[in-house]
Amino acid sequence: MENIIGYLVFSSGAVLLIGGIMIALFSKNIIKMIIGFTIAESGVNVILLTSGYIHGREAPIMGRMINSASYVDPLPQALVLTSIVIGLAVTALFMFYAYRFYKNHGTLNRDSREEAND
Amino acid sequence: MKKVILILLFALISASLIIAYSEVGKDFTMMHSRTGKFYLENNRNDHNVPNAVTSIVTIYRGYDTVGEVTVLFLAVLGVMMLASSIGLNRMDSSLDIAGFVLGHASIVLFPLIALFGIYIIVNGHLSPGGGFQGGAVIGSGMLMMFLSGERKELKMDVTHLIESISVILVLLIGMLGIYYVNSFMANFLEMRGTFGSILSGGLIPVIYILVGIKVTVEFFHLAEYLLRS
Repeated sequence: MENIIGYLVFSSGAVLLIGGIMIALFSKNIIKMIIGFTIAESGVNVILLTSGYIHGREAPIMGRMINSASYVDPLPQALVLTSIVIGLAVTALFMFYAYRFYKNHGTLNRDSREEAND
Repeated sequence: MKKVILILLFALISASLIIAYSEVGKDFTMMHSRTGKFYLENNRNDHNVPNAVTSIVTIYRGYDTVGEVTVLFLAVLGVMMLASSIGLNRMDSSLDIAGFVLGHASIVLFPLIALFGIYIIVNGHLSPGGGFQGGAVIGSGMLMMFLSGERKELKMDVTHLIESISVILVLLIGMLGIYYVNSFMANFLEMRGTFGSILSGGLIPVIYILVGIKVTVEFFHLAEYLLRS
């Protein structure tokens, strides 16, 4: 089975996505939620990258070979580049919200929000 | 009730992923998407650069890159607004706890990191790398300088001005593309250079250097506002 690498990478991306979403939804600590979102985002990036993978071809940097049939699909790689930068920006914003939450409520537990407001 | 809905949601996501898995698995041996094939076939003739991903990011899908830069700017704007609502204070010397090793090693390492980042930005059209990656490298070096307590005070007005000018130049290049060849972010500069040299590819290195400057300054702003609030 020659495509075993592709299957392995895709399934690990799926595991990362589901695990990250579960961490983000089921944890009480806001920092852990942010970590979960980051893991889920990595899973999405891995799945996107796998969609352009073709077994036995090179990265799309066209040095010696002009023939386009010897390279993998460059489009998902460009999209993932965009996705990584946006994920970083969103993570920074998340972290700042967590910091502000901690400053206002004195805790990072999301369930203690109502009690602190009273 | 809430848990039941969540578990149903997970079942849905897992099922769709399994279906996607079996669908994508068929495609592993197939050809490119039509778009990717077009990019690969025309990259050498259109732009004379080796790195197909760079020409997609800067020229073919330059509109996406402008949107990406805008999203990055919006995130930094949100951080700035939250920081100003908390209130900025001067960086105090409490960060001097960094210690001897980090404090002295950062002075030696920062020029090397900055040089490496500049190398990545300038060679973005020849090898893996580019403005976003190199900007992230230089920004991480700046964060290390912040943590070591050896930082120089930069004037925030000047950094905001640099950021605005680089974005305006990128947008201006895009608009000039409309004027010259009727498409946004077109590679209208006819100087393609010799294949594989730094001065080749027309506008691609220009756009990526501008994006690199912008991303570096954005990282600097993120670290500055997070540390000062």
